Amino acid sequence: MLVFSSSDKGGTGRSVTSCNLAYRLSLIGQDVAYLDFDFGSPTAGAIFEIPTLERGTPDGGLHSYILGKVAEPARVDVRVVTERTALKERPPGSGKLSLFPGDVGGAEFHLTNDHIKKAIDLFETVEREFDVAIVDLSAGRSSALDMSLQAVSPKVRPRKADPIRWLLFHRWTTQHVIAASGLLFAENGIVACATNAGFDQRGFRSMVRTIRTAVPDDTAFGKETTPEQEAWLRKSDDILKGLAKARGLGQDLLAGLTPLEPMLLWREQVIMDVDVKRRLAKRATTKSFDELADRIIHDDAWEGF
Amino acid sequence: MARPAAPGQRHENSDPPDKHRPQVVLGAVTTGLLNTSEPLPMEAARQALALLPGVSPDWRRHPIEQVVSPDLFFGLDCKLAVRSGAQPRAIGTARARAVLTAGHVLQGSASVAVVLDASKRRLPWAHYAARTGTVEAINKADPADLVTGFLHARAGNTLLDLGKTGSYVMSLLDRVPQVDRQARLKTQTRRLLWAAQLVPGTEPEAQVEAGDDGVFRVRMAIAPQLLPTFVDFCEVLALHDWLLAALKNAFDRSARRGRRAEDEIDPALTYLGHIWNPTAHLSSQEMRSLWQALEDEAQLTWEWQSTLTRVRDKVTLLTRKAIEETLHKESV
Ligand SMILES: Nc1ncnc2c1ncn2[C@@H]1O[C@H](COP(=O)(O)OP(=O)(O)OP(=O)(O)O)[C@@H](O)[C@H]1O
Ligand SMILES: [Mg+2]
Repeated sequence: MLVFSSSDKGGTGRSVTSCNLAYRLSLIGQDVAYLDFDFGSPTAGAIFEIPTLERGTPDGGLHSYILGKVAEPARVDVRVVTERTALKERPPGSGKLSLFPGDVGGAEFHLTNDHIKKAIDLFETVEREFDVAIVDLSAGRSSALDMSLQAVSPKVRPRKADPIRWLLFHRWTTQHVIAASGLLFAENGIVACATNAGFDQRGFRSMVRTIRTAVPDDTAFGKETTPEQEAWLRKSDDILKGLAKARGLGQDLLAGLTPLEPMLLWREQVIMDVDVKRRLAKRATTKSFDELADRIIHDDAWEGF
Repeated sequence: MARPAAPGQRHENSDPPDKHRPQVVLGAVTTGLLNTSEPLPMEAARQALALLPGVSPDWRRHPIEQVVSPDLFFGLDCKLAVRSGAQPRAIGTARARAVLTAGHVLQGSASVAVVLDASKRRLPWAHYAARTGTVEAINKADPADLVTGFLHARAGNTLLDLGKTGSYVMSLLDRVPQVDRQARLKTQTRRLLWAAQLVPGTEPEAQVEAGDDGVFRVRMAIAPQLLPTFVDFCEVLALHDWLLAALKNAFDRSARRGRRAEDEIDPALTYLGHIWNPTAHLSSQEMRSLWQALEDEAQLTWEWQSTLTRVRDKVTLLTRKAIEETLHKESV
């Protein structure tokens, strides 16, 4: 299965959430590959706390691979190379977790058919080895996004192949909802792009789900929340829900949400169960990642509107 | 490891070094599962591996079905990796073939013989086209240095990359109608790199190294006439290394949360369980001795057997559990 992570704006939490998802998926027994397609700023190495890959690899990462500079992209077993001791452990029953890093100093590129062919090969290779491959695309429209859509379009992908999930990440604010909806539905948006690539519109839309990130609850106001604040928050939330629905990003498209997690405000990282046990991270955070992971591998969450 | 092979027939071959005789041969074997749900039947396999019009592939049924495509040649103009100094430019053709074992395990095997210091500049193509499977290096290079460079350099787009050639040959089978792209096993493609220094009259001696990167590297000094059997040896090693990795992976995956063990184990046993038989593929005494030396050190066959036993034990346990559950249900 291929999972694409997209967002309109930068800083939505797309990469951090995707890395956490990858980790959670491996915990529930899936062999997971994380493909860093954010060629301009590959951050997965930093999130998985791999010192040598903080800003991508100098040695033939995915960007070099797509450009045809290396025959095989660099890859690492996250548990082997991470600096974080707790993450090194592979609990019984869990799956592999491999990172295909981007390149240090990678950048946007002009898309050609050769690139698309490389992407097709890459996806086929990782799908033959892993249960789930998460592809982190950069914010907004990019060559990587176009390339991905074309590489998985029904024109080239066998009909009986594994399913594709398209995730759209956005923060839970007025502007982010509007921007995310724009990226998906605007004239040059993802859906239009997918249709151009050969998807039928309904078929493609059934693959798309949104993830609302860093959603605050009333604790965001501090320890003593006033009844006024509570009421305001509920009302604002309702207004946002209305806006999301009106913009086509309603409940039916929602894969889930992640709560505002203070740890992630300081540091982009994998939130582990030990962090919750040590009372550093919120239980709700790991729970939301688990629910998302579960939803991704179960088809019923992706059937029908 | 370094192991001399048993004394086979010794070839007295002490001709003076010829300017156009290769001193080094470099090769790569890429091994993976053919992307099909069921193995290709022999007939289909023979058709699929007829990669050159009018030339039929080699094949055999016993002790295990195997089809070998005719050799294909690919033009090259690239750099050779070396440990130090300037990378020599090499021009000529690589030789490559596809090998399909048990209708299911596919290998792309590619090699080039390197003639060192052949000329000072690129010659007309007809010169190279007449020497198939050979590249000629412009400028000097030390054979041992070339061997190390090839085995350890990370492939770049200007460097000789025989793994790529092998993968390409494998990809030619994608268009075969029976290849339904529905493999029932999750597997990883693996690579073996080999490099041989041709030394007339020498007794074969190999160093085999299993790298952390999952790549097997074989370095060898060998008499020229033994080269074809050495290529076989490398293909056999690559095949069995892949088999072992694939079976271990299936066993590992059978213990995953939220998954039925049978879904991993059944296809592994059905499709891979019967293939292991390294010496069956090795016709020469030299290569059998080499394999034996490898076994003494790395115990590959023992590891295969013990992994297979674990897999089968697991099946037995699962079956017993299933029977007990049925009996329990009936008695309730
Ligand atoms: N649930 C959360 N709660 C609080 N902060 C979060 C949460 N999720 C992510 N963040 C933080 O948001 C910031 C942006 O996250 P991230 O880098 O994943 O965004 P991105 O969408 O990948 O951005 P870019 O487009 O720049 O790659 C990070 O500092 C991250 O730690
Ligand atoms: Mg990011």
